[in-house]
Amino acid sequence: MYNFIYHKAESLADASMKLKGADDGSVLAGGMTLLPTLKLRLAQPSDLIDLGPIGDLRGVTVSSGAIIIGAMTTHASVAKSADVRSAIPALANLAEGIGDAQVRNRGTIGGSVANNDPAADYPAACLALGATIQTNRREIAADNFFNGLFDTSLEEGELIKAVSFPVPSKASYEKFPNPASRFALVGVFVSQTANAVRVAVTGAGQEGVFRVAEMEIALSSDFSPDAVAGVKVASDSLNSDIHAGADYRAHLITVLAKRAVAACK
Amino acid sequence: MPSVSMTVNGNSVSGQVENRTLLVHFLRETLGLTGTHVGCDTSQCGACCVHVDGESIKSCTALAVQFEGADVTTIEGLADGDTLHPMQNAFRENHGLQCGFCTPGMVMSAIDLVKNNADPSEDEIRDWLEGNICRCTGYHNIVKSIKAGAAAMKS
Amino acid sequence: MNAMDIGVSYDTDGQLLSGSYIDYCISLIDSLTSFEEGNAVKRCAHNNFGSKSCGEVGAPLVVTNIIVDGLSPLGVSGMLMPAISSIVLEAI
Repeated sequence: MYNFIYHKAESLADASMKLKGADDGSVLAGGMTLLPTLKLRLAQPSDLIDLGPIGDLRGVTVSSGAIIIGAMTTHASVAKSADVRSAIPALANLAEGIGDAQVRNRGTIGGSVANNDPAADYPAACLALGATIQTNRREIAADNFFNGLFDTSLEEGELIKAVSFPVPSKASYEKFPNPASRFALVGVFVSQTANAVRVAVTGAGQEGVFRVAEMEIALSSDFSPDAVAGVKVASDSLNSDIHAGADYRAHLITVLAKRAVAACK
Repeated sequence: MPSVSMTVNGNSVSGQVENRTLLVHFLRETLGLTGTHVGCDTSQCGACCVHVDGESIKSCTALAVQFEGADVTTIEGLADGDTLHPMQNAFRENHGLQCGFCTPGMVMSAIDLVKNNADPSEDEIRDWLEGNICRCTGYHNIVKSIKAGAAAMKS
Repeated sequence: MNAMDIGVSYDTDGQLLSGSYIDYCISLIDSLTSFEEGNAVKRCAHNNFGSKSCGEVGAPLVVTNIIVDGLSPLGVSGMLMPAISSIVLEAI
């Protein structure tokens, strides 16, 4: 990779200041996406600001009907967290399915959410659970956060502090892994709260994660797999690649939505 | 050039590195610990697996400078003199390797599995080692070795 | 693996699409379960050793035939390799 100036950040404010002072800096969270990118010379930041030392950004807190996960909390920590497992088991299961054991020991929720990879798992969870992304400047509702392929509403220098997930009554995530990369070929997250049902799909959309309104409406009156069995997302908005065409992805969305609903407890 | 200090296999070490120097290259080239291998460009193969502060990580997807003051164990740090670690021995006894290139990564990853789950089932072994690729063995004897290694680590 | 997953894949311009393990399916440890091994021997009748040619591997065809056989109650009589889910679904 190209060389860079390296800084250890002591706090989010410190990271923000160092980022501002850099010509073209990047923050380093778990590094599970950024470092491979740098190794392939697909990016050339002038500075890397390491969020690793910021202990305040790690940890899970429970707070009046919500699970709040610090941005630097690793996938392994989320998967192992008794609080997450008891309040939102679907979220713990999702974290447990990301990457592999070593990647889970370093990869972070903040990194995943800020990156918005179209095949990542967390964006589906955020959308389906109606999460709030807390940054060093404001709070952003998930519905307003994910703006397309690798694009979010984060402004320049804005850093994620934590993600807050309201606890649903039921939720489940079904992922059909890409046989090579094990990223989501298609992943469907379904959640039901007192007021609403939300269905979010990752891996399939040309613009990244999206909600399926037709399924949400169907499930609101009848929360059963049969309710979504006849709902198909239009193929023309979906991805095609060597692993699956758009039609097959559309087929998978319906199949996984049914399974997710069936698995909801 | 910046320098970095850490504990590796129980020894305090330090060396000069560039900021972009990967942990795996610090271990292999600065410290001469060539048991940790580089097998791919995409952080998938796991041949570079080491333990840092008690957890297994892929040292090819890590910068040496991130680990100032860390406690690192490589494959070279497992044996006690001439006595192999029970997991190493299990791989030896159960023919868990052919060319041996993936083996250090397999052993390091397996030890972390057993730390988290003292009695892993076959499914749990096959799930945990998803990040370790082997081209030679078909994994059959690797799974057997890890089962045996886990049992041996209990005693 | 040839029978089961995407191997080397090119686009119409000759650009390699499966240039890393992110797209090239190399078998991982969870690709199979453990199994017991056995031998079914049929000696070749045409030479004294009873041996057949070395190094010919019929495995991809055998695996594909097993899949087609398993799906035959659904009316499947043939299938293209590799047996990735979308191709199996199309066959059915």
